[in-house]
Amino acid sequence: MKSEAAIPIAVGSKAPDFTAPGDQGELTTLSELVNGKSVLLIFYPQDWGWVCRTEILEFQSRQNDYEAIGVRLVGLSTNLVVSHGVWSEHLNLRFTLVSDPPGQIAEAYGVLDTDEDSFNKGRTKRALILVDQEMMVRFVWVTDDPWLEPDYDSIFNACSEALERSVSPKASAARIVEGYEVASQR
Amino acid sequence: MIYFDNGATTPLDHRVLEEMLPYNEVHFGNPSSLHALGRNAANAVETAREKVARSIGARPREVFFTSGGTESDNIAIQGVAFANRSKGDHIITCAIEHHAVLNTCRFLEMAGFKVTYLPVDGEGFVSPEAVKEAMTSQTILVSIMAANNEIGTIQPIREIGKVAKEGGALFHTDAVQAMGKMPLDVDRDNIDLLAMSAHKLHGPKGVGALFIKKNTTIRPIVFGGGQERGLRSSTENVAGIVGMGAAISLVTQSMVEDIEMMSGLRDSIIERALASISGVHLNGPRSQRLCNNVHFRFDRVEGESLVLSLDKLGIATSTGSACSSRSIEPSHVLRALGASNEQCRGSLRISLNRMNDADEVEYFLSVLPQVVSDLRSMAGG
Repeated sequence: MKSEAAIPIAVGSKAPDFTAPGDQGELTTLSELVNGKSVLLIFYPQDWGWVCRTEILEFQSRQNDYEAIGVRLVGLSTNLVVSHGVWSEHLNLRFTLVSDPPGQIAEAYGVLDTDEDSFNKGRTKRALILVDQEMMVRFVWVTDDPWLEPDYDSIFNACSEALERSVSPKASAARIVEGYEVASQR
Repeated sequence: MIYFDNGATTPLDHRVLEEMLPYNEVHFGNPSSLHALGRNAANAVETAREKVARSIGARPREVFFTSGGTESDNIAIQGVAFANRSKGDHIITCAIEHHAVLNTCRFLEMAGFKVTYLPVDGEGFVSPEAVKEAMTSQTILVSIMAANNEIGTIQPIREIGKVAKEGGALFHTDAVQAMGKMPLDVDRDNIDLLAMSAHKLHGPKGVGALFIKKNTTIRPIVFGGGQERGLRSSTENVAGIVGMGAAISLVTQSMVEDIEMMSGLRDSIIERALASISGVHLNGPRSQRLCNNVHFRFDRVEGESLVLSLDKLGIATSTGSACSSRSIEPSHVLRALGASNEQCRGSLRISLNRMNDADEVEYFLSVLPQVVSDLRSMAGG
């Protein structure tokens, strides 16, 4: 039995603000993070999983590239601060992992797994959402398959191009990244 | 550090290490060599084989050394299946086997075999009657574990082995968790093949053994120089094999007292945790349970954070099996018991060894309620 699938937030929408604990327990607020920068929200299902580990480390290896185009990286999952803290230290992470145990942030962005048949139900889907300095959603990538990794080069190029485009919410649309699922349009 | 993760691996007994050390450096010979160094190594392997055989009531010729429990399960299941294909193509196993058995069976399905995965009851037991009903004229192998690695359920292997024998099939049991924690006798328990591993009983990692009853039709799955009488080619891990022999001897010597001691600690943890913490459930049975296994499910608690919080307090535990600790998928064992995906997330396995004591259990029980409560608050529960 499938419940109604969540619809990911659309490109051009206002990004829902949030305040939640980071991996050291510090309160992290999106609207403060975007101060002069864009933020790539990296939603992933679970700390300690090997796909999640691969993905998070891949983004870390590209952190300088993202910073060069003015993008800050932030990871998010439903894991508690306890888990985030140890995992972050274990991986030597240089960006924050936000703890969203009730999945409220994921729900606000339409990337909470609510499928009754999914072993991932109640956790975040694997998703990437780019929020610009004006708290506007500029790029969305999401998949229902927790084993699927994004194509990192395409994602970087798509984020870079999305930020280069003039801000025109009505006209902007999710870029099709070849071979990968792209957010539904509202 | 209080080590309560002995289902994952056990600390190497220093007496085992002492026996192993000369075979890494001084007695480094290849057991296949004719010179004195080689003969010395060959003797050490045969002495270890005798020790392993004695611990399960087998003859030394029926023991084959491998790289571990997983390889032993693979040789047993694939080796029997491919060697007996002319007799039949059906294998019976159960839903809560270790992945070394389950994934080997899935591979055999791809190779054209038919596999029945029997369900288990709410405590993880496989019924011998269900095995009997599943038997067909094509059944060549029944593979049911002696004891489950996650929830500690001890299966009625003697009865299942009898059913297999009566139906003309071979009976294999994965005894990786059971060895040293319950008496096993291959004749009495109707076992044709039995897989074991050294590192679960205070021996070294990277070595295991497979018991194969005399006159069993089996073929190798790895080909090469013909070591282990052609069944498992590859130069023997002499130091590891010596360590396995030493470890199994030591564990067998004190097994009766160790079982009694660990059962006492196990029951103390189960009874007191159930009484002092709300929303905690025991997975697996109260009786016919491995003497060293406790497995709880906590409502509204994230298992990983529970393990990591206890780790910060100096207590090593697990969310389930070591193999699944870094998997995001729910435990197939808990799912087979009827738990929902979300219920599988609050799991904690405490697995003891013979060196644990009551003081360690006291400390664990003194900190557990607060840890659970803190995590529930953090999760907004």
